[in-house]
Amino acid sequence: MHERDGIRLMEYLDGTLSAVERQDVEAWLAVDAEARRTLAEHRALWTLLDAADTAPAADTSEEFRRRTLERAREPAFTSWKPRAVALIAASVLVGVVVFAWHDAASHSTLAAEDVAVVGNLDLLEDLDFLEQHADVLDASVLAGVLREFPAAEAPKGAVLAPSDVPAERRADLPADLPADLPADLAEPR
Amino acid sequence: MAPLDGREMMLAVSREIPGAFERLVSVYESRIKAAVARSISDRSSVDDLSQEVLLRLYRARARYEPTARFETFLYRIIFNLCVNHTQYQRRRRTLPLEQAGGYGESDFSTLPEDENAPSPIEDVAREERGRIVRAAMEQLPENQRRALQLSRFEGLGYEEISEVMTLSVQAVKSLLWRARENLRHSLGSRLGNYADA
Repeated sequence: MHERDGIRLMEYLDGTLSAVERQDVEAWLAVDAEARRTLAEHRALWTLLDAADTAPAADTSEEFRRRTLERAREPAFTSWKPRAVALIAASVLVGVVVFAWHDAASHSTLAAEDVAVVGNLDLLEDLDFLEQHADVLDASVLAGVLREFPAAEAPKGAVLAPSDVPAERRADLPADLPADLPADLAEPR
Repeated sequence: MAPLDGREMMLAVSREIPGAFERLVSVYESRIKAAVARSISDRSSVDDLSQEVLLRLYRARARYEPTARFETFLYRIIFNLCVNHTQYQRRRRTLPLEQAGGYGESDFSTLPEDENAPSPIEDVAREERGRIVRAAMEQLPENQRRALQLSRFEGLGYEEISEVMTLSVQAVKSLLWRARENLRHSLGSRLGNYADA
């Protein structure tokens, strides 16, 4: 028998069908011997299940009630220890997190001038090199470097006009040389 | 004055009315013990689990909402506790359930079968009938058996069982039908004799 039909038979036995649904089932039973036999066996089974009830008919005891009421009066937490341990653990955890965050923040903070130095570290190293060897460098090389790194800041921040380049080298300067030259680079020592 | 029903008693407990919980314990002790005894296999735990059911009711008093039948609320606590207890007991067992005679499998071929046994209605004592039917029930898958117990022994309807077991009503009907069908097949000829009688 299909489960859907079986469930309908079960509902019929349990008395949960409407009047119309009951009539439908009874019409079905009238013409289906297999359904009638299944219904009879399920009805018998329902009665037989009584025999399987293992529960004691009336099991009560004064002692059971007394113990139950005693336990109900006990506070849910009989000890302060679990809460105290939880509080300490939470405090330690918060402390560790705050320390780790502060430590990381102190290592990662840079001053504005440091950021500029770090951002242009390679360039500044090159400029330092040029500065140290400017006396042997050709002015055109110097100008090429400056053209390559137009955003470079002069190590000491001062600027000079191309006219400040020594006269014997001025002829080598390209026409598109920036108007302002870092002083230390333009003026070889 | 009409006696208080379960919902009214639980409301009285939730409002901390003196003596309310004592009364609830007195009224429901037997019923709770019976439901627990039907749901677990070891009788030694019935009192402890029944007490735990009552304590959980008491501790839930502040958040009790009288929207559903009190019995549904109560049986849900019983059901959950007994399911947990059964699972715990199962884990503790060293023998596989099949060897230990448990109800983990749906093998109805292991049911006691005696061709010469007298029909239940005529000669077999109620105790013997009970043993046979209990053996058949223990072979049912756990969900089917619990649904059947709630329906047959606790008198809950489909919707109430669905709330207790947190299943849809249709799933409950399906469980119940399959449980009954499995029992019908496993009890076989005995049932036929009984039905004919």
